[in-house]
Amino acid sequence: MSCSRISPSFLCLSQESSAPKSLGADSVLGKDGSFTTRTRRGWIPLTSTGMRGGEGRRLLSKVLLALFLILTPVSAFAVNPDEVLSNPALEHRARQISAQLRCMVCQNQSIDDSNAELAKDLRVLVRQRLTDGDTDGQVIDYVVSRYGEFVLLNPRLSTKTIILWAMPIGLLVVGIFALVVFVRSRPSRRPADALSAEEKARIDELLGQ
Amino acid sequence: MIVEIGHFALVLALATAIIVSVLPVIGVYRRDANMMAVATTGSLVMFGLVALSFAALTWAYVVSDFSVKNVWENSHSLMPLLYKYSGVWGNHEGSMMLWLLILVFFSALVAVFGRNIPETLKANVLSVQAWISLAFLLFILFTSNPFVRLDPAPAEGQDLNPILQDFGLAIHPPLLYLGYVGFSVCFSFAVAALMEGRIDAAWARWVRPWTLAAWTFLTAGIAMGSYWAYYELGWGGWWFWDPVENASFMPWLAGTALLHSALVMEKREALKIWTVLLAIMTFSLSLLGTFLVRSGVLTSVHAFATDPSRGIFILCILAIFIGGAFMLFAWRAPTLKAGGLFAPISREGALVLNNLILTVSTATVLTGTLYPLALETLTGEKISVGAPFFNMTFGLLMLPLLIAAPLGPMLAWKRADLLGAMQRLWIFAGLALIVGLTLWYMQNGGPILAIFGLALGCWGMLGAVADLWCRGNFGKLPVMTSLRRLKGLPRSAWGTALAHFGLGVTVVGIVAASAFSTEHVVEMKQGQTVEAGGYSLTFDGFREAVGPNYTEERGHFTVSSGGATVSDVWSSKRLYTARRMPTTEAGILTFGLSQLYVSLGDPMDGGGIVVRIWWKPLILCIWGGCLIMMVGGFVSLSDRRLRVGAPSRKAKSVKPVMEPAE
Repeated sequence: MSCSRISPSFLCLSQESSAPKSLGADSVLGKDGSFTTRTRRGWIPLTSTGMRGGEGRRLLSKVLLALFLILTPVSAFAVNPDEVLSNPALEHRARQISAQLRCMVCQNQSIDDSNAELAKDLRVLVRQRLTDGDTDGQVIDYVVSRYGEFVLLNPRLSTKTIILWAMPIGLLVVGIFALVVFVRSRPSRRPADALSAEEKARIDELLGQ
Repeated sequence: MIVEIGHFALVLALATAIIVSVLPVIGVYRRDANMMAVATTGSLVMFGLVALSFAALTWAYVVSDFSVKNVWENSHSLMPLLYKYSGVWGNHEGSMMLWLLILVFFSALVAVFGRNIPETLKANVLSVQAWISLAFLLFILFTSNPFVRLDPAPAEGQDLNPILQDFGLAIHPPLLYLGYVGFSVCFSFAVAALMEGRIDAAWARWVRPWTLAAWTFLTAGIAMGSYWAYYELGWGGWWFWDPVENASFMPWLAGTALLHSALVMEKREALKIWTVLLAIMTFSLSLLGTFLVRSGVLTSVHAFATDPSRGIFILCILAIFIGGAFMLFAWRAPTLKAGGLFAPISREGALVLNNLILTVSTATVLTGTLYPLALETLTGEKISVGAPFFNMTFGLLMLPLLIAAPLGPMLAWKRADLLGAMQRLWIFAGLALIVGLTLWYMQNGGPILAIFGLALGCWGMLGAVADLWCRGNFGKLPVMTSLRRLKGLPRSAWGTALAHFGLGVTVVGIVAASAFSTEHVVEMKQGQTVEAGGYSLTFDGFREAVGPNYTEERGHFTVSSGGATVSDVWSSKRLYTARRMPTTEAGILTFGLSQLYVSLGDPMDGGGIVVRIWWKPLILCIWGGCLIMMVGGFVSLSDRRLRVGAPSRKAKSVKPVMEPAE
């Protein structure tokens, strides 16, 4: 596992895997003594914001924001305005598809939630295919052909996922079956039927004594 | 010196744990009251020692003693005092200490409040608790010792992960652990009962308050964690089906099932074997969760301590306790006699349905969480199981449960008239549908399924009201009489109604927030305005600010509606100086139960900045509902019949043989 060993935490929201990609300022970071590789790997937050590359650095003069830029290896999240398609229907489909595709370099996020470079590339790719007229299925097939089944957050039904998909239904059926058997087996233990004539006679005999 | 005392106290606690693990069990075997009494004293001593040890660690944090490695790694002298306290459990070693502290705390509670529990059962329960404590004491001392010193001592600490520097850390882990670890008592009761080979309604009565308490805390802990993630992570998500979340959710599901089956067992003496099994499973899932979180075998958005030796150690604990308990169960369960009879349509029947669905959902979440790991280990193939899978399977499983929830409390024990219950409820079903439709209409559109979802939530809420309505016999008796009847209802009936009501509220929140949220991702420059959720947000620019251990750029937004200014909101980007780590602080504005969520993104060419604005209608219902469930739990817990140790008369009548042992 990749997360920090030195600063483990019960809820460290790390996204280190996206860090090196979106960084572009490795050398700067390397020189900063207090900001070791170790701490950086462990503590890059999901929430952290900053920018990729140098696009913003030229433009922001404020010292503090400059600090953010130099020292921040991670970008914020997800979809940026420049990615959004002008056709709202297409954009909606793109979002739907994105939510089902895993960001390959992140811990457990969809490309819709992640801002790793790879996730951005995939988002742009998805939108490109959609604008080129692909159906949702075709887009997903294409992404799977490039990255494998791992990219699907909702695994396809196949021989290797049969147990996963069958589990809820199977258990429910087994449970209901067990219950039916249980209920059926019960009557035998119910209070006995009415007394037979013989038993009645015996009781009368006993009571009569 | 104080730190060494803490360390030493922990070692002493280990020694005590060994004694409490062994002596009382022998005492039970020999019917030796003195040896059994060691359990009570020993558990209290153990709690005292662990508390001392924990206090020493806390002291090291508060005075910023960086010669302690754990403090150096996770604290900073400039950190606000609250975070110095909460920082104690904001790391692996400290969180295991909290785990242990709460475990021995529960043992001590059983020792103090369990006066009416038969002596043998109590001794066995406390011994089983001590076995668990022993395992975790060994784990802490050998693989995760928080008292390790550094020489030379560093001058300044490395600071706590900024995301954890939040009020959430102060309450989320303690609440979560109170729930998680609280189920250990149910486990110990189950194992102890299996050891004695005797389980009856009285047993269920003793177990139920502990289950209820643990469940209530776990509900609060999960809800708190979810809200924390929501406001801290900055993209407005509140549940990610992440392995770590699933790890806490599975014990909750199983615990909910246990809560309901223990009810059947207490009232009707049925479902005994199942209840015992469920008690074992619930805590096993807590242990499994601890393993998943602490070993880091699964990838998660939350980070883990990833020392393989720790993982293997916890895996061993897991194997011994779960394996041992299940073996004991397999060996002893057949000797337990089956209890009361009931017809399929009855309150018991409804509770069995509840158990079936909750168990299947637990298994589904468990499979989904572990499947990728298992498949990769077995075949080397990598697949992902993420939110879309869980949303679909879990959602479908919850449907019948939510439909049935209001019906259950309306049914009579043993044999009930479903039609009669339906007749009493149909007005409320109709009302639920109407309210659902109205809400949907007010939100203009959204998926058709949302109507159904909202109606389902309202059905849950109104069903709970209907339950109280019928119990009070409103409409048939004068209002005052009905009110008096309501007042006279057992607290547990109120608890049920409140918890079911809360569930409905949460469902409404989930459906509304998922179906009707709007999102705006825009590039904004100073002075620009964006419309979101019926409000206009104007970006007024940035201001710099300095916090105790961070600096921040705060973006200011003025919120107006219909031309009039309604409010304003800050959303900021922080830089924590010690770790050089940036975070965003979302700006959240609450309107009734809905929220406006503003989060800052990347600066763009030309001086603008990406701003993400969400309108989240009724989102507060999600956590509000959990709060109501929690209140329901506490109300039910305050029921006189359920008060810990209350069933003393029952104990005497059930276990007369135990009396001479004294």
